[in-house]
Amino acid sequence: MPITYEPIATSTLTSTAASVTFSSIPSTYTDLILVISGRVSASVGNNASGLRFNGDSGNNYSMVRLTGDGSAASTDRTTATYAGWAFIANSTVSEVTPVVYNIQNYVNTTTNKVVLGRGSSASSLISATASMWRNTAAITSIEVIQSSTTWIVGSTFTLFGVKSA
Amino acid sequence: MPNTYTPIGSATVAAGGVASVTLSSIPQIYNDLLIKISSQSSTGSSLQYLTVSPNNSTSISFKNIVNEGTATVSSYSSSGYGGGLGNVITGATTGGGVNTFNNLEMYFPNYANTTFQKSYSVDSVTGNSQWGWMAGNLYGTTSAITSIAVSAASGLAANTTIYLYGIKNS
Repeated sequence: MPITYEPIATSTLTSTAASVTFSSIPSTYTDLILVISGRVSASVGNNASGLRFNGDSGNNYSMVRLTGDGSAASTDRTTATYAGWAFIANSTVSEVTPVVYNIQNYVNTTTNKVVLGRGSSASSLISATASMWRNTAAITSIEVIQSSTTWIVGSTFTLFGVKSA
Repeated sequence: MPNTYTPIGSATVAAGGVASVTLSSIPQIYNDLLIKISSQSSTGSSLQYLTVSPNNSTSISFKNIVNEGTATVSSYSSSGYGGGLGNVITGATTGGGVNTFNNLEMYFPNYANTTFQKSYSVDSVTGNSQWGWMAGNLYGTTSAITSIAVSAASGLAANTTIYLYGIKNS
């Protein structure tokens, strides 16, 4: 049986960092899955993670977000300088937030790239996001950013490649 | 390259149903756990809740935030520690007597970590009643997860399947 779910790279922070970048992503897979278990250093606010592809920090991303905090649910659609808004807990809670991104068909050069993201904090907010990078280039690098100041020490980031066969 | 998406355990409920299923002695050699459940409760009426409990812990150890919806209405809720069974509700099974099973997936990053409390995501759909469930759960302990128990208020119906996978990052 072929191995179809392989780790490409992983990072566990030993010092705080503003972002984590996976570069030179092999083009041998069909889809990518990025798993984060992390928290940001800010003590206030609804913070989030996001993805930038191939170093593009322009306003070239679109997304629809669904969020809920237990008291209300909301949804919106926006453009942004990153894809995959996913809620990340701040330093006032004791948990780290799991985030899972699915990035489909990342090597094709015909279609814009689509990302599904889920963030889950039982203390604060849950989120689901469908995003698009309005670019047909193959994804060769991913920068994982956050809206606070830094990711905390111990945050983990793993990129998996998934083959269709 | 190692195989990093490995089946750890599985269960298929036999004819007659069962009250619960426990996957125990989970190896601590993976980074993440993924559990996939196709379930139905043994009751013949209404939706029932499915309870997935790491380390067979009681509701006092859990809290969650939920967005859920049917074909006609959406709602939201949250439960704090010790708020009752709602703390461990992770999905709804369909009522017995129909052929549609609930489809549930839970992802546990860093399940063997003993520094952070365990957060995990839950996504569930029940096609027969068009019920969707999206949750963030927190198992408020730093203990490693060594077992996962699955149960339903009226028991798990025959042909309920549970698959547990271990995922390595290298």
